[in-house]
Amino acid sequence: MNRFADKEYFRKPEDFRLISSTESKYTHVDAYEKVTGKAKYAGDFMAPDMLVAKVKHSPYARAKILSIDTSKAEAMPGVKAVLTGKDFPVRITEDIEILCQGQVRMVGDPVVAVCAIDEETAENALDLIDVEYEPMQAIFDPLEAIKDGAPDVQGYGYDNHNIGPTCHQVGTNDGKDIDEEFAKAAYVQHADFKTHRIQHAPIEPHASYATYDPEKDEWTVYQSTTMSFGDQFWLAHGFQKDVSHFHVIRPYVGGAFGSKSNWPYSEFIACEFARRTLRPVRFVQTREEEFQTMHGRHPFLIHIDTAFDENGKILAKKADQILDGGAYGVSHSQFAAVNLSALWCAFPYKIDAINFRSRRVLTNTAEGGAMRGYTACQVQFAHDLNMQYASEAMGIDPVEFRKISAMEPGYHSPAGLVVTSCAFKETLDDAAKFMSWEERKHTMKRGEGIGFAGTAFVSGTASPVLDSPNQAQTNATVRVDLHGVVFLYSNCHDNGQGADTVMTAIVAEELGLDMNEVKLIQPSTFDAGYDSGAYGSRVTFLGGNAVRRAAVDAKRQILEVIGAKWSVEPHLLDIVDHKIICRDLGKTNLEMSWKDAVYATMTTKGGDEVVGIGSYYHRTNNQQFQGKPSNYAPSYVFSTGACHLTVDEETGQINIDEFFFAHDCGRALNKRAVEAQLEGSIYSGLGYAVYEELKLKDGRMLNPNFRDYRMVTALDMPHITTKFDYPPDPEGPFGAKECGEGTTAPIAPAIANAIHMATGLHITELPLDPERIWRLLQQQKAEQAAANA
Amino acid sequence: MVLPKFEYLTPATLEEATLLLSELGSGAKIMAGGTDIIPPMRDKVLKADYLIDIKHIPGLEYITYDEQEGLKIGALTKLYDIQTSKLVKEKNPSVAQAAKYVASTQIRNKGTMVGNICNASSSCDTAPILIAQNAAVQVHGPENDRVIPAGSFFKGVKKTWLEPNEIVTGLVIPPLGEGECAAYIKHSVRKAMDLAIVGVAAWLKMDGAVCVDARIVLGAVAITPVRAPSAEKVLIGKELTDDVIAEAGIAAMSDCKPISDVRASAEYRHDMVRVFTKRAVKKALEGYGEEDHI
Repeated sequence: MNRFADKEYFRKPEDFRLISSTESKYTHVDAYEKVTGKAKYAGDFMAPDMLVAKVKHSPYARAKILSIDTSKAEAMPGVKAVLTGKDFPVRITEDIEILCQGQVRMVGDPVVAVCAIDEETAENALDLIDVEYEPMQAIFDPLEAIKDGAPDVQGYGYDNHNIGPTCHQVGTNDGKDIDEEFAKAAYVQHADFKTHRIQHAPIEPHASYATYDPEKDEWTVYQSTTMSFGDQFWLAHGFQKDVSHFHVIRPYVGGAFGSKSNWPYSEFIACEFARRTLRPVRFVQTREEEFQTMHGRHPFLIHIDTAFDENGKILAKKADQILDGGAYGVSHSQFAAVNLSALWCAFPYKIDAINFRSRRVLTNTAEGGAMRGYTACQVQFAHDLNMQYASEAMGIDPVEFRKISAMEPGYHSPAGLVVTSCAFKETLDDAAKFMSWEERKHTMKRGEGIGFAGTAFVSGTASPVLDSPNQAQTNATVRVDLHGVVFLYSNCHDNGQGADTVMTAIVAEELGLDMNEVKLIQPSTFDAGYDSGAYGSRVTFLGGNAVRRAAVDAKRQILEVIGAKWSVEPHLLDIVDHKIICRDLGKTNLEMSWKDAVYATMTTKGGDEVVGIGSYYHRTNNQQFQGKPSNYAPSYVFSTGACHLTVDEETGQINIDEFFFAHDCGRALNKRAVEAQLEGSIYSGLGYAVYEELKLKDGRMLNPNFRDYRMVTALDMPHITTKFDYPPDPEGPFGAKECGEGTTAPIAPAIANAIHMATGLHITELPLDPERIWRLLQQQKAEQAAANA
Repeated sequence: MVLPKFEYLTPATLEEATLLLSELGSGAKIMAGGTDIIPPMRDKVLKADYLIDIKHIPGLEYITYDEQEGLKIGALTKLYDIQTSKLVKEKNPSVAQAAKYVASTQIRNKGTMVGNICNASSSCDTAPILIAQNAAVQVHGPENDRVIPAGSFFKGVKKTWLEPNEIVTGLVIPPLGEGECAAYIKHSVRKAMDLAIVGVAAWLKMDGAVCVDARIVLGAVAITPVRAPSAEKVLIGKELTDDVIAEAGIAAMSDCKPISDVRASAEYRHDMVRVFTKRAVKKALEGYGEEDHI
């Protein structure tokens, strides 16, 4: 991190030209390419001699592979190579085999790969491959998996009751004792919740296009990814080479939502085929492969005990959570799942005595992993409903109840979190006001309800995934050429969220230029510096700070030269609208154009170009991986979601007519993008709450297509109002914090709470599809009839 | 998956199309919009060596109305055109309603109503209303043309009573006479792009407040769209009070055999037959006019 960057060279007056502007000068840098279809995604790359790769998957959830016969496929005209497990001897992330050797652990595990002159030939070749299996007892229920004597899901002999990463977060503030807090509580609530399995379903599936240069022993891989350095690292590991052999290029990415922070078998297979055939190889995963074999959102089992004092303040909380981890992920890469899920148990409340345990358990299903609001959607669904039910039990208004224990600026949690900017209470107030809660709460008819949910999320992360000199860092470089044209070298991963746009805007803002005068060098692992990736809501906060520091470093070098010419302290100069100006009150007449200033600087420095470097990371330790207190993120964000809905009590169908979303994201740098992110969060939160469910039978997905895996359509979307005008964050770039990931978390609980108000149903499980609501209503009717009889 | 190779044929006349069907045998399939043909071919659920595209045959795309015969819809008339047709909305709005329930705007701009019924899916959205209104399916064959009543068109899952070399050329839906009204409603989780959990069509002939004739048709709850005779029996000869309508809903439950699948359980479908039979009757009565109703 540049030591000058934090100090005087940062812009003082907030007379922004681009930041927070909704005028047309703030352009979305890739809008034209995407709207016109010119944008190239990984699966769009092709060459005349290109080959296509396909995989044969396991039909069993758990089985021994007895034999594989590929002879007929290899003899088929048009087939160029066939690979099996023995061609990939090295496992990645400890427990993943690129192609299974000896045993399969889930339906869809890749077993044999084929590459051929076209897709049809490759598909037909797969049908000619005979794999003989001996099916074994598979396990799908995490509670069964942890029992004594349960089969070993993976078969690696870890002997750990199928329990993978575990986080046990215990702590108190001010010397409190958790048992004493529970003993003195006015009300203690015990509650259980369960969540289901869904998947990201980005429109662009995972895709790889690989070429190999035998002279240099070097691969070039166009990869649909949000973590290209991870791809580079694991490819190098898989092929037992140095990272310098892998040039990973991230083209446009058609949505990720957490799905592309992985290392899919397709990229390894494409690379190995490219090496063997010396021809370009493309592997675009099918939708069925995406659904059946890629990671999704962990299903959860959650038990919560909460102690409240007589005023409704939370005294202490215990939680025991089990994550259905699927067949893989015993390594540190899945620590984030258990750590974060323990972290969310307290969010967004001040709880001075905590005891949270999260265990990730293996089952013979597809891996659970990161998905938009990593574990927050599940955990905060449960914990917000827990608050709702407690508010009713204690007879306190649910909005007031949430405010009693709400986090505030300056709070230090027993888990080690340091809350800086925090407008949680304000978001609750704004939601209550928008919904006219005070007037309407007593006048609702049966079948009509308003629900609120309050959640919080990290803005940036300390979770490193890969080692870097400073934890989870980003590097950026800004180069200014002799004509004053600016080049930004940044690997901040744009997955559609607008990273390319906001990074360009940050540099243009800092250097007083227009956005089209800042050229973003399309990133790759060879063309620009390290970036940990687009995960953990880190891009704008950490990446944005790195890019801003690089711009400020370039700016400093120019201002030092011009300051010396004018005999003014350089930090009193600034660059605004293509001009160097002086903010020293006596010398405001001093002015020089940007181009002249750049030219003069290079002349003075013997012709050297101005190159600014910047980096940023979250200054914390990694103690959370040892279950010890540590500040997980440089800042935190807070949201309230609220909706008004009616329930059709005959069909169980809900109709949400109004959704309000208040989000404390500090200063919104790109207001239109923030608004769209909040709307998109409601879209995907609504899908999670009501529509989407990955249905499995014996580990096989029953609905691996968009006909039966129901994504929300435009017609199903409610009317939305958003508010995100809260104070800037002291540490975020220009005061910005996270938006778009954790914002998915309050949607499901807001809907559940509104259904609860409308019907009196005690909801503990997702999804809230019509049939489930209908079933609960039938049950309620039967119970009422029994009570009346 | 990849769309398998097939031969694409474009006859210019019905005779030519029928000849091709006869010559090529079971490997040939008729295609209009293609929305129910191409996806299952890609998924290898449907196999076709030849696709006979009838889109180039003139005279099959029309919407007309005849006071005696009723509404006439051609085999190439797209669902979107039916949904938005002023003539259909004026003369028989329930047909436009049913068309609108199919898939999405994009699909409705390619797919046809005739194709929708020829696909013979039990959850087909346009079949119930055609059966309820006693529509005629016009068929062209190598020997002669014939008419199959919509109620006798469906044989089983994805099967119709069409002969292998017959082609459907159009639909005729009788006019709604004095006191007659109809409606179709569908229950699905999403508001578009979703298959019916249950679809119910109701056709009623009213004399004042009394129902003198009724046809209720249920979709997605048996291997084909089916009539609900028990429900009809409840309605016929009675004043259609809320109680009678509710009773018809309950009766309809005994007229179907829903299955559990990935979209809904049999239990839920069964109860939704009750709810949507009731709602379809009420919706049909809305068209009959509030003032005549009790």
